[in-house]
Formats: sequence, C-alpha cells, structure tokens
Amino acid sequence: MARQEILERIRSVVSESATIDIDLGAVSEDTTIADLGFDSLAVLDLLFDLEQEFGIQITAEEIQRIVTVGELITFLQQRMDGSTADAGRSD
Amino acid sequence: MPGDRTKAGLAEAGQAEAGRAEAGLAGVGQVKAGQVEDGSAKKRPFLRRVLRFKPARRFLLRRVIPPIGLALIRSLGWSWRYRVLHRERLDELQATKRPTVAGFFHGRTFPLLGFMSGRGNGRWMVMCSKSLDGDAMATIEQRLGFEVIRGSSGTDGLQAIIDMIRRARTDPGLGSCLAVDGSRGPRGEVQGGVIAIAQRTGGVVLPVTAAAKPALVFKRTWDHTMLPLPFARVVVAIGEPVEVPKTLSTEALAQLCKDVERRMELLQEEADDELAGKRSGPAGPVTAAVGRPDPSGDESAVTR
Repeated sequence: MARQEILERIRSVVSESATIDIDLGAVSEDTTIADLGFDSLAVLDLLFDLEQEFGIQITAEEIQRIVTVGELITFLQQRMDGSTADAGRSD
Repeated sequence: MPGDRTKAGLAEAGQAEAGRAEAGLAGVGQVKAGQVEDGSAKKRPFLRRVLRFKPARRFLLRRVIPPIGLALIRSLGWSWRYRVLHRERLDELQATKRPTVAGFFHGRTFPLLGFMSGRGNGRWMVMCSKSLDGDAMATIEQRLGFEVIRGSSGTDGLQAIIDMIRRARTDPGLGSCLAVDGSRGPRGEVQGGVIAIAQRTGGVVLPVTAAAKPALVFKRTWDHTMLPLPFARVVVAIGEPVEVPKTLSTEALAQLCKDVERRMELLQEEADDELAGKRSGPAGPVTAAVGRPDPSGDESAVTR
C-alpha cells in the first residue's frame, strides 16, 4: 500500500481518536504522535483504532517506540507486508 | 498490584543495602556496606543471602512461597467475618454483565482478594507485576480463581491495560480489578488506569474498599498494606458505579480521577464507620467466613 494512502487512513483514524482539535490537512509524515494530542493513555485509542482500521495487532512497546507519523506509516507498511522489521527501532 | 508487594519488600531491602553503601562512601569511605560503625563486620541474615542468589530466589518465589502464601490467605480468609455494604450495586452490574472495573486502594488488597475471589462475587482479572517477585503473587491469584494479566508500570503496565481491555471486550462478564493508586502510588491518588479501561470497554468504575479489625497495617510500605488478623471483622464497601464518558479531554480525565478519589475516600470513611459502629442505616448481613455458607441460608451472603 502506498504511503500516501496509509497517511490518508491515519488522518481518518486521528479524526476519530484525537482528543484535541487538529487540522487534519496539516498532518504530515513529520508530525509527531505527541503533536496529535496522544498522551500515554490517549494513545490507547489510537492503537485500537489503528488495529481496527488496518486489521493488525499492535503492542504497547511498538506504539511507544513510534515517534512520528512517518514512522507509523513505515511500521504499518511493514506489518501489512508481513515483514517482521521493526519500524519504531531507533538504532 | 499485589505482586509488587513482594517486590517492594525485596526492593526495599536492596535499597536499604544500597543506601547504606552510599552512606558509607559519602562518609569518606570508612563505613562500608555490611559493616557497622564500630568497624565490626555485620553478617547478612541467612534468608537475605539466599535471596541474593537468583536460582534460589526463583525457586523460593515460584515453588515455595506460592503454596505457603495461598494456604495463609485461604486460612485467613476462611476465618474473616465479612460484612458487605451496598452489595446490590455489585449484583446489579453482574446481572446486566456490564463491563466493570473494580477500583480499590492498593493497601486493601488482602481483604479484597478474599472477597473478590469468593463464589457469587463474579469473575475477575487482576494485574500483577511481570517481575520474578510478581510470579509468586500471580500464582497465588491464579489459584484463588483470578485471571492474571502480567504488567504493572511503564510499557508493561500499558500493555497490561491493553490486554485487560481486549479480554473485557471479548468477555464482558469478566470484570477488571485494579488498584486505583497504581502499583507504586502515591497512596490514595487515583491514576488513569481504571478510567482508561472502563472508557474503552463501555463499562463503569466500581469503587470498592475494605476496613478490618483487628488488622496489621504495615506503615513502612508505600501503600500501608493492611492484613486482617485471624477472625477479624472485615467490612467491604461497594460504591456507586461511576460512568465514564466515551471521550475525555486531558483536563476532564484529571477531574474524573479526582472525583473517583473523593468517592473512594468517602467510601473508606463509610467502611471505617461501619466497623466502628458509628454508621446508621442498613448494612449487608454479616456473612459466614470465606468458604462456608452463611448460617442464615442467604445465598447472597456466601462469599466463597
């Protein structure tokens, strides 16, 4: 799946899960998850909504490693491709 | 959660050692760990030396302590005489199978373990530390009939919350039992875990607390752990279920935590007053000790 398509689906998920007003058009690959207003507990909504949207299962460790929307897209791409590579790994 | 108590005890011992060592180094290196100030060597207690040896510790925590702890909790629980305030609140939720998150103060774990594991009091899952020390408590809780979800704080704690939400969504009749003040405190301060689970399962937070007399209160633990003595009178108080809105801003979440905290404090006062005989109004019947039917024949009074 193309990155742009995943970004659009993430925008749609964020519009459902976000607890703050967000300009969805401004959500880019450089936007951080924290910028979207997902703190340690609110990130649960993002996690469950992403799972539902993309039909995958995400762990707390994986979601906490992801800092930016770009990293999230890479993670989702790899997960949907069945890759075991870890998108959030910083090293 | 309960498993952390063992951990806390061991960690406390370790920290005390470390603290003494640091103090020694700070004090121009003259007093070292394991020595007293007059310079004579202080021998560590045998048990502590054994516990520092990881395989021995693992063996003790996985094989020795669980059956002893289980026997202790079961026999104590058997002797406690429970009185339940507002039992109908729990019964109503169970009848409707509404997802329920029972929130309690960490320090009241022991009397509530006995009550919540009782027959007729529902099916519950509890959170227990993933640490080696948590293994002992997890085994005990499983044997008492709880479904145990491992994790306590940080990423593990968040994963445990996720796992609890998933389980509650697939099995709404399975309630979640969680310390409102978390696994490390501050004591009595409600954290977001209980609300997070209730919010994402469409459930409610059910405040639950206990008071007991006579009981030991371990004031050196962060949560002031309370252990009712044999044949103690235990009052379990069940609060009004707290509805949690589907969406909550950060500020609203903080406010709701404060609200639940206040309700818990009032509930604790009610339980304490009942125990002291100061409370007026109806209370639940004095139940039989855990595991035996109530002499009155009232099925609802059978706690296990």
